[in-house]
Amino acid sequence: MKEVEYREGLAAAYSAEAGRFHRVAAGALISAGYHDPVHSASDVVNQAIVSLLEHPVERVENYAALITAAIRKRAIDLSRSASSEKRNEQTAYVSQATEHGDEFSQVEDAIDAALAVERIRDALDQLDVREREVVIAVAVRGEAQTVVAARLGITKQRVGQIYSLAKTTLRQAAHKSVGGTEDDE
Amino acid sequence: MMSDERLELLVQAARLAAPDASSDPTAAALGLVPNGALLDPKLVAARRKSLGVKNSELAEMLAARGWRVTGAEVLSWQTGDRTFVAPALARALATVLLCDEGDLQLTDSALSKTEAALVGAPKFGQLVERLRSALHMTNGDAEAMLLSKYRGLAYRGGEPDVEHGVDALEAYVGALESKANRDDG
Repeated sequence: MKEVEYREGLAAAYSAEAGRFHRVAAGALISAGYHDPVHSASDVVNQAIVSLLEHPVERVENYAALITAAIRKRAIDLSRSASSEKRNEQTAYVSQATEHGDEFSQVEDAIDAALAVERIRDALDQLDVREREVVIAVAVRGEAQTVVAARLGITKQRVGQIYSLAKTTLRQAAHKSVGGTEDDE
Repeated sequence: MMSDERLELLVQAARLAAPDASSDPTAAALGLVPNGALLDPKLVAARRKSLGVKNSELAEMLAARGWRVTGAEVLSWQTGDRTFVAPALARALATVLLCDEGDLQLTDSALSKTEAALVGAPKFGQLVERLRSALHMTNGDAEAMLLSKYRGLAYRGGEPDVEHGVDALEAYVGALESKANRDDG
């Protein structure tokens, strides 16, 4: 019976918050410097959930929090594993100390990045239609600014201006939650 | 200053949404993909009434277990010929209604073999979602509408196989989407 309740708790939480879990995974992978973080998010979510199914946790009070923590841990483990493989290829350039890193700091970074992702999500909703269209075309779809300009019937310079202003807004939104990262310095 | 590259990754992460359940292995692992088993709306309604529970109260009981369900959705499960919900949610519903899942399900004879295969096909779930979105209807109503259309095809030319049935329903949904777009425009 307990196992049934546990599975139901995970299912209900995933059903309600699958999108957020994927963004948490992507944010954690970004903060850990993992290559291709956005496309790897669903793998991380899947591995975290499968792990929770295989190793049930007792007395869960908040399933969404449990899944979120498992996703962060899986993202950090995956990034460590990837960087360890890279180091093995490059051999002695990196010290043993950085191999293990500061686990607490990594979790903090992952939380900050997940918050930044949600803040940026909110900020995208606040942009006007044209700003949002430019940001999504350039930052998400990777379209050249000339292509976006031609489609919108404006100059490439105007696209650049719109994108630049939107980036400022989005950076400010991200910084509300990110206290300071390596990239910020 | 956050780099452009990091900002673009965060924007991409912010745009992540819940994957389509029918192609999401995590949803499948958690029993969140409809498997063709159908609830009988009359049995659900009868069970709810026998317990003296209002639709809104039933929604609250499910919400207390973590499910994000509204009273309107609960009502939609009790209208039409049949109700499609994910297996995990069907189990939860049976639990709060103090019965077994089988007590709420249509018997196999209510659906032909091909119909059962059709509603269990991943593409069918996608068509339901498209129809629901285009016509702003509930999932249950969209599913019932598609099944009704499929039966119309079967009546005119003999029961088509699943592949041809899905193709015909896709064309049908596409036409309704175009009409809905024109109406919105």
